[in-house]
Amino acid sequence: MSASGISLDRVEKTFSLEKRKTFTALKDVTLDVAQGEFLALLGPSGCGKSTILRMVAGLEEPTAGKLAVNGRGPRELVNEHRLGVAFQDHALLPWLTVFQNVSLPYQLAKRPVDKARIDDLLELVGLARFRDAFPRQLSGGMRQRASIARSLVLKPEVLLLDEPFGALDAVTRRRMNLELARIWSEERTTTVLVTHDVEEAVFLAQRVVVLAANPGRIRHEEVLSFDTARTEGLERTDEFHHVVDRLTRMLDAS
Amino acid sequence: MSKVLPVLGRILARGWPIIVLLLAWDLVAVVNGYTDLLLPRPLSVASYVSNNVAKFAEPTFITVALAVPGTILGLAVGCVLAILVWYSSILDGLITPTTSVLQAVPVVAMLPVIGRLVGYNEITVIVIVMLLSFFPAFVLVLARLRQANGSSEDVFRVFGASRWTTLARLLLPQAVPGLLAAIRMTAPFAIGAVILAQYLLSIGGLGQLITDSIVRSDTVTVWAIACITSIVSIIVFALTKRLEDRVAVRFK
Amino acid sequence: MSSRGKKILLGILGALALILAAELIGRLGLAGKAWPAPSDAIFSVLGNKLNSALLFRSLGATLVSAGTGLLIGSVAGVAVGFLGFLFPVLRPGLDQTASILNTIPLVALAPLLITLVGPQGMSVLTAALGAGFAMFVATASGLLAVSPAHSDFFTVSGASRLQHIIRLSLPSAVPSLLGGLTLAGSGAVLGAVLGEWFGAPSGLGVLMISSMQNFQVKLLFVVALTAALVSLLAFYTMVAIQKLVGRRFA
Ligand SMILES: Nc1ncnc2c1ncn2[C@@H]1O[C@H](COP(=O)(O)OP(=O)(O)OP(=O)(O)O)[C@@H](O)[C@H]1O
Ligand SMILES: [Mg+2]
Repeated sequence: MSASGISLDRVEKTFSLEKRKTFTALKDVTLDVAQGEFLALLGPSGCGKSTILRMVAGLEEPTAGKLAVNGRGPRELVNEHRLGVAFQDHALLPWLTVFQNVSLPYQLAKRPVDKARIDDLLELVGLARFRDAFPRQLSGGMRQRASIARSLVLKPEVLLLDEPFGALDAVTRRRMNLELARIWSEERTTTVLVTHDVEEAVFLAQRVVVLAANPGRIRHEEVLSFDTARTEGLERTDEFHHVVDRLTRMLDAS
Repeated sequence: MSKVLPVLGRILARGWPIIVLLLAWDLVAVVNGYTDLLLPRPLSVASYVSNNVAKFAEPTFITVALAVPGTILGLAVGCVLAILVWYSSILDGLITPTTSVLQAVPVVAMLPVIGRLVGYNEITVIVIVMLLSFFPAFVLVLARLRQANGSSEDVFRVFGASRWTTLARLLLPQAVPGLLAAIRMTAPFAIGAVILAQYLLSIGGLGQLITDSIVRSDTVTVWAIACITSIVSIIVFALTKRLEDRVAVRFK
Repeated sequence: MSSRGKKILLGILGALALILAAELIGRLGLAGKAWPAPSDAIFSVLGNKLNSALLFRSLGATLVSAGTGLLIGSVAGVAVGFLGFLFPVLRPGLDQTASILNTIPLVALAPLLITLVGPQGMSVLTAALGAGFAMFVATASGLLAVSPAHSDFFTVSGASRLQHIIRLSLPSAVPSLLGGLTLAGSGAVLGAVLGEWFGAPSGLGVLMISSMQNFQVKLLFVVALTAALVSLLAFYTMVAIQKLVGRRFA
C-alpha cells in the first residue's frame, strides 16, 4: 500500500435506517488509486459510487475497513484545502454570482483571490459571458460547469467528480471531456470520476472500476493503456470501441 | 432511578426557562423584601388560588365558555365560505381578493368598533372571536380544497363522480388538516381575545376581574389571573397541537 | 377577455360591493347610529381641524411605538434565535418558552408589564413582543434551513465553523427572516395599538378607546380604518421587500 494516493482497504459502509434496520451500501471494497492516476467508477444506480466519493471526501465514515488519502485521514487533506469536489448536485450558492461562487474556495482557504485564474477557468468551461450571472439564471448544464470550475480553482491534489457532466448535451460534454483530459495531463491531479457514460470513462480514465449493487462491491477492473493520447482521435479507434462494448455488456448484465 | 434520570433530563431540557422564570420571580420578591401588595411570591399566589377556588372558578368558566362558541362559529363560517368559493368561480373572484387583503387587518384592534356597534355585551365578545378564527379557517381550508391531487381526482372523474361527490369523498377529508391548523392557530388566542374584550368593555369574566382587582390594588389576584390564563392558554395550545398531530397524519 | 383580466375585474367588483354595502348600511342607518357612512365619516373627521390634527398626532405616536417595538423586537428575536443556534442545548427550552410566551394572552400580563415599564412603555413593549416572536421563529428555523449539499461543500472545502455560520447559515436564513418580517411588521402595529389600551398618553389605540367611550362614532370609524391601513401597509411593504430581496436567496 502506497503512502500517496487514495487507498481503501476492505471498506464497508452500512447505513442505519429507522426502526433499527440497516442497509449495507458497500461491502469489502478494496481499491487503490495511485498518486496522479485518473480512475473512473462505473456501476448501476444505487451501487454506492457517490458513497465511495463521500467517504474519500471525509463526509462519511466507513463502518469497517481502512481508508487513507496520502497515508492519512481524509480530513487532513480537507483542512489543508487540497481537495476539489464537484458533486452530483451542483451545490452552488444561490446568492452569489458565478464568479463569486468560483472564488469561494479561496476565501474559505483564507487565500488571496486569484481573479485571473478564475476568469481563465470560466473561459475554459465556457461561462466567461456569465461570470456575473446568478445560478438561477443558468441552465442545469451551465451550473454543473461552474461547479467543476469551482472544484479546480485551488489546483487540488485530489479531485473527486460525481457525474459532473450528467446534465450536458453530447457536444458540450465532448468538449468538456477534452478540456478535462487536457487539464489532467498538465496537472496530473489524482482524480476519481463517477459516471454513467462508458465512453466518457474509457476516454478519460487510465483505469475503470465497475461496481455491482446490493451490496455495492467491485465487480471488474480494467486498466486502459491506449497507444494514442487522449485527444479527438481516440474515440474512433477500434480498440476504444472494443473496450466500451465489453464494459457496456458487463453493466447490462449486472 | 435509572429511569427517572432521563425523564428528569427531558423535563429540564424543555422546561428550564419556566423554572428560571419562577426562580427569578421569587428572587426579585425576596431580595427586595416586597410585600404581597407590591409583588407576591409564587407560593403565596398558589396558596391564595387554592384557598379561593370559587373566586376564580366562575370567571374562568365564563371566559372559556365565551371562547368556544365564537371559535366554532368562525371556523364554520370560514369553511362554508371556502366551499362556496371553491364551487363558484364568480364568487371566488368576488370574495377571495378582498378577503386575502383583509386578512392582514388586526381583528382584535377592531374591538372598540365592534363594541360600539354590537353593544357592551357578550355578543361583541363572540363576534370578535368569530372574526379572529374566520380568516385562518377560510384561507387554510380553501388552500387544501384547491391543492391539486392529480391521480385521485382523475380516478373520481373517470368514475363520473359529480363535483359534490368529489367534494364530499375526496376534497373535504383532504381539507381536514387545514381546518385543524386553523383551530391550532386561533383557539389559544381566543381566550386572550375574550379577556381583552371583557377588560375593555367591563363585561364579567376574568377580564373584568383584572379591572376590579387593579382598582382594589389586589395584586395577588392580578398575579393569580396572569398564572391561570397562562396555564389555560397553554393547555388549549397543547390540546389543539396534539389534536392536529394525531388526526392530521390520517388525512395527509 | 383574458382570465387574468376577468379575475382582476371580479376582484375590484367584490371590493367595490363591500365598500358600497358599508356606505349603504351607514346612509340608511340599517345598523343603527354606531355605523356611520364611511364617506361621511372620513370627510367630517378630516374636515374638522381639531379631529384631523388629533388623528395625525395619534398616528405619529403609534408609528413611533410600532417602529421602535419592531426594531427592539426584531433585534431581540434574532439574537435569541441565534443563541439557540449557537448552543443547541438551549434550543428545546427556547422553543417552548417562545410558544408559551406567544400563547399567553397579553392582557393577562398587562398589569404586570405596566409595573415593569410604565404605561408609556407598554405599547413599545407589546409591539416588541409581537415582532420578537415572529423574528425568533424565523431565525431559529431559518438558520437550520441550510441545504445538505451546500453544507457538504463547505465541509470538503475545509471551512471553519465561523465561515460556515457567516457565509452559509446566515445567508441561508435570509428567506425565512424576510418571511418573519412580513409577520413582524403587522404584528408590531397590532401590538402597539393593543399596548396603548393600557393607559398610554396618546396613540391610535388611545383615540379609539376615547372615541368609543364618548360616542364619537365617526372618529372611531376613521381611527379604526387608519389602524387597519397602517397594518396593511406594514404587511405589504414587507411582502414587497421579501419579493425584491428574497429572490436572490431562494
Ligand atoms: N445517508 C444515507 N442513509 C441511508 N441510505 C443511504 C444514504 N446514502 C446512501 N444510501 C444508500 O446507499 C446506496 C448507495 O447510494 P449512492 O448514492 O452511493 O449510489 P450511487 O451509486 O451514487 O447511485 P447514482 O448513480 O444513482 O447516483 C443507495 O441504495 C442509497 O439508498
Ligand atoms: Mg450518485
